[in-house]
Amino acid sequence: MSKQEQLQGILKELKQALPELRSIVVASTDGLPIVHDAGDAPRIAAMAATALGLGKRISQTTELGALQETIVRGNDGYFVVYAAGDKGVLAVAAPADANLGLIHLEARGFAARLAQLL
Amino acid sequence: MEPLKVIVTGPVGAGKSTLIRTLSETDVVDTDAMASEDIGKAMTTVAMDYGTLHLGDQLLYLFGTPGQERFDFMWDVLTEGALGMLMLVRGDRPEDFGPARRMLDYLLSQHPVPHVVGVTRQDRPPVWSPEEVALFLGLPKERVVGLNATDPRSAVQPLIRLLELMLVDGESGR
Amino acid sequence: MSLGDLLPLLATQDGALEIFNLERHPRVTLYVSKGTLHCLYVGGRSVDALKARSVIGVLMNARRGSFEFLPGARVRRCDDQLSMRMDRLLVALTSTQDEFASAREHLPHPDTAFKTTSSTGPEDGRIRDFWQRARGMLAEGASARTLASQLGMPLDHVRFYLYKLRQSGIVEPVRVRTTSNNSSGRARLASRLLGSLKRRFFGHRDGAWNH
Repeated sequence: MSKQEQLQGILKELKQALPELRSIVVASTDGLPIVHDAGDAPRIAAMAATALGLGKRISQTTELGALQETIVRGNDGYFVVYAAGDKGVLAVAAPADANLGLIHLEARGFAARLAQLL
Repeated sequence: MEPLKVIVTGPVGAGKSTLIRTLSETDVVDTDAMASEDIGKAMTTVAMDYGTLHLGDQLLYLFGTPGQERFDFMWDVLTEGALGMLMLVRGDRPEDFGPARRMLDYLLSQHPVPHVVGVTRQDRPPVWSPEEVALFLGLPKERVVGLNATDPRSAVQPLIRLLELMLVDGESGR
Repeated sequence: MSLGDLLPLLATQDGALEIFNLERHPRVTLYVSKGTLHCLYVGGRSVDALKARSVIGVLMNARRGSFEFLPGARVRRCDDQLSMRMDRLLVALTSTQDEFASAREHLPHPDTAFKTTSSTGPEDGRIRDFWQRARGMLAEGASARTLASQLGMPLDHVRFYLYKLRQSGIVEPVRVRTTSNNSSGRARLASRLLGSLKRRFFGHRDGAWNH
């Protein structure tokens, strides 16, 4: 299986593990989409990379330790960005009533698997 | 006194981060990531660069934007309310002029911000001159200056020109 | 078989070519007779010449799709009668596509607003149709994104037309002007900052600076 196919496979598993997610984007840390299940993937990939980059910097400067995730919360849902290794970004959009704790648990596991391929 | 903000923008690899590092009093805070594309260097700005400069009792923030168009939302976020904008373009890369013009036209159609363009690499011919770049960008000659981003006395020239033009505009009531 | 290969075959046919299963595009039907396209239906409605050019441009770049040719089929009713020679249309579109590809780096940002600077229209026939439809909005200032949405055209096609209009000096990008009246306040600020900046980087004006 090619790397792209493997990444698609992981994406599919993540969708099955967390069916409530509205969209999923895996991107490079410089904002290019790699695999995704989202409408405006190029735009979301760039924003996710920015959010992660900024989050890492804030975490470092305010001495929070290693960045866990960056969350944007709106009235109608969440956008959560995780690092996937040094070179990757995993971003998911979830509805307002989502169980964030569960999402973090699952997503971090998938982020680690993605990191191995990126 | 309220701090003021100057934005440094321009295509990828123009020298924005370098310029801010040259002018900033403090260590520059950056948000670099590894470049996955070939852009001629290993790292690229994904959110902003941030430096500071004290001019008398006035604090000036220097914010550098990412160069790639996919980060254009950051161009807007950072340019909003800026005192002025410096756009850098590499004088030895005419293929960047189109994207530079696109960025300049976009930002000036959204923000009424005083602006100057700096053309880098003037110390390494063959290179396009500020006059030639001004022509391409559709700007009056006085808004485009040449510089070497690593030499502080050269790097500050676009900022000096920006302030000089603000003086002139102020006097003419523009 | 790409659509680029298929469409030229229509030059000698009479009937209807139906194209469907396209990625994110409704069904298209071309009614041709004696090498002329005389009606184009998109998703159940006929479209005008400007839109027709756009649609065929999109079709030529489509990577997936199915087609069915119905010889002798005639359109029952056409609100937008066209009279476009298929052979000329394809040549024009191909050269436009080449030009578009090489102009990619010069296309404007989708949200940059453009305004008309000249009342004379473009000479290029390809652009004239667009100009007729867009000039009202461009008189006030409009971006590619707004025009694409209002005219129902692909964003990249509109960006290309604006690029061509700009090249001909017919439109120019809008520069938004400050609404503040405080230009003299800004001048005073600039003057103060300039003094500090020069002192800091070049030393005092009396020349007592050692490098």
